[in-house]
Amino acid sequence: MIGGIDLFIVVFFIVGVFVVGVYFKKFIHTSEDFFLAGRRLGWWVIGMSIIGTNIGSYDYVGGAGAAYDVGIAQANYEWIGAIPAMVISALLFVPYYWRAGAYTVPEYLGKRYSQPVRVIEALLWGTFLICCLAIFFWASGLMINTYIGWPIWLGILLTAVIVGIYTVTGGLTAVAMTDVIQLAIMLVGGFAVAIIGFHEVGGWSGLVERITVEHPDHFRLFLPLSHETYPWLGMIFGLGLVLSPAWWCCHQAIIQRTLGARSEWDAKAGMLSAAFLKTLVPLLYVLPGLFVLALATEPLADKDQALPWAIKNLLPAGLAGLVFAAFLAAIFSSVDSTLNSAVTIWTRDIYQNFIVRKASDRHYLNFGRGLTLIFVVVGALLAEPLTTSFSGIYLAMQTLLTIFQGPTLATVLLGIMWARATRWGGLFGLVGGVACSTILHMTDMNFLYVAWWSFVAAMIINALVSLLTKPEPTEKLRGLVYGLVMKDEHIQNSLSSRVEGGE
Amino acid sequence: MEDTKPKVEKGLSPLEVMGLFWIALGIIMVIAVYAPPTMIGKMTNLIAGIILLAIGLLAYLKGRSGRASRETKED
Amino acid sequence: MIEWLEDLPLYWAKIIGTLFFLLVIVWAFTRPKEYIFRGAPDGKAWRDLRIWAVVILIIQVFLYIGF
Repeated sequence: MIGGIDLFIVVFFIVGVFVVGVYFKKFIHTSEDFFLAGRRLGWWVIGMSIIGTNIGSYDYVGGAGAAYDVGIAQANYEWIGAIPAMVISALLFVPYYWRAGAYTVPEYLGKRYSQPVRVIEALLWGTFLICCLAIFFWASGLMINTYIGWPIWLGILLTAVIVGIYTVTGGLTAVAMTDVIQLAIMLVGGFAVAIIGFHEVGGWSGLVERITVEHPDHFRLFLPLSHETYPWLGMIFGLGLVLSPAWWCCHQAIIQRTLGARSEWDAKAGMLSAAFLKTLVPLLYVLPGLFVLALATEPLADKDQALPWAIKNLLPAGLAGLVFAAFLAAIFSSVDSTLNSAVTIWTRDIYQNFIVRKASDRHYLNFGRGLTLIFVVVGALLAEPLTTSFSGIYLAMQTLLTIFQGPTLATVLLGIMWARATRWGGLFGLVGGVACSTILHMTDMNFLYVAWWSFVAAMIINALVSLLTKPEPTEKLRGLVYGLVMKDEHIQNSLSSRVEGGE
Repeated sequence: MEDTKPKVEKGLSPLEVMGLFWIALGIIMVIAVYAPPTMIGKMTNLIAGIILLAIGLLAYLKGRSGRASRETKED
Repeated sequence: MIEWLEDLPLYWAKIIGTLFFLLVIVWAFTRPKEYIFRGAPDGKAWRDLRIWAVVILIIQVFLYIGF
């Protein structure tokens, strides 16, 4: 357990993030300020916030454990399983969401297809994000319990109060700015761990020599097809072509930052700068996992103990506190973003769309703030029952995601790329794809292949049903479909003015 | 590059606030050099502290100059 | 489903992975200039996002060839 200067650093971090987060309250005057940071975010804030949101505590603990177990193949989740998708997201998907003036991905789908598609997507993502929130709260309580010794409930309460208050007051502005602060701490902490780790193992060559004697595959990015969890084909097709684009092109918490960009260029550049930062992420947890493998004299009983081992045996006082603050940063940045995105979806796509349609802007701002508080309480209360009903935190996330990520990607992809895709094609493709992944999930199939086949099923169903139904009028598709926008300068200008006019 | 569109907001800009946070944390890390018994431990704390201080100073100065130029434009 | 693929040597994974990156590089680089610069405050060379994309992806190609 940590104490002394380390505990002081952690307490300073917690208090500091709280104060900074609450400071951004003064930037919130309208619902657009609250949900989209007033569309004022610059590209580098967006990039850092996206990565801060993306790195969670499960990346640190589970990722370091996996790197200890399988080696650098774990980095596939950050490289081939992220970067090509981020480039595609930046240059293809993000501009369309931004130009549509949407607050959420389901809102875009509602404009492109129909209200039922919007509602199904909103309910899927809205529910998923609340589950994520509960899981993040539990992870936070568990981590504080392990390293500081406080009861789990106290850790959950602390996280809920701190993150809840600054998210309620400062909205996306507070979320994005605190993400930036937190990512910087994570990177500095990771860099310092790399320095001390390489010193201990004798540099890169020392690390390779120590590990490859007993683990010759630990420095291979691609593992054989017979590998149970990291088969190379699944990595390229399941992860690289489906799961990763679905995450980076359709995940509300990721996309929401780009929707808050001050210009289309900033939105695109934000996602690309995030892709660059993503290249560095394996520094944070793959390297520590490898250091532990090289330095531990006895094999660890539980691979997820790799990072705790590194903190206890490798890091000096001071740096241990900074690295623990980085863990908390990873959790806080995931909790605040998930909270803000869940509230945005439930407010825009459900409440404002069905329940109270024509209220004042102040009404929706207050509703968003109230809902944020409610979700904090719900997430904290669900933390234990939800996570203990699954065998592991990571498995819970994976199971939920696999069911609808492939079909979502297929629906968005055809919606943007193919003007012939109709409202019925979108609806049947989405529902059919989710049904397909649910059925496949009950078999023994690897989740990477489930993602691939549910994506293919949704594409085929969408295309077939679209061809059998009446095409959508061109007027409806203006600005929402790739080909139409690329060919028509008039549409581009009218969309820009629409967004600038705040429609 | 400023972090937000120019808009009338009094007080510190986001960059200045972030900069101050990093500076304070950097100072604490530099002070923490006393804690580890080994030279490599002390050096690592020092390097982490200096990096945080540098990022913080850069952000603070950039934010302050951005705010000054916005206030000049408003006047 | 993929039994016949299991006989493929592991370097095929590298070839397919690298081709995947190259495909995205070509796609990114061929985006129209006005589309890339839309919303940018000026047309300075560093704002050309095609260059950003290519640099980011080339780093990946080297990593995947190296490991």
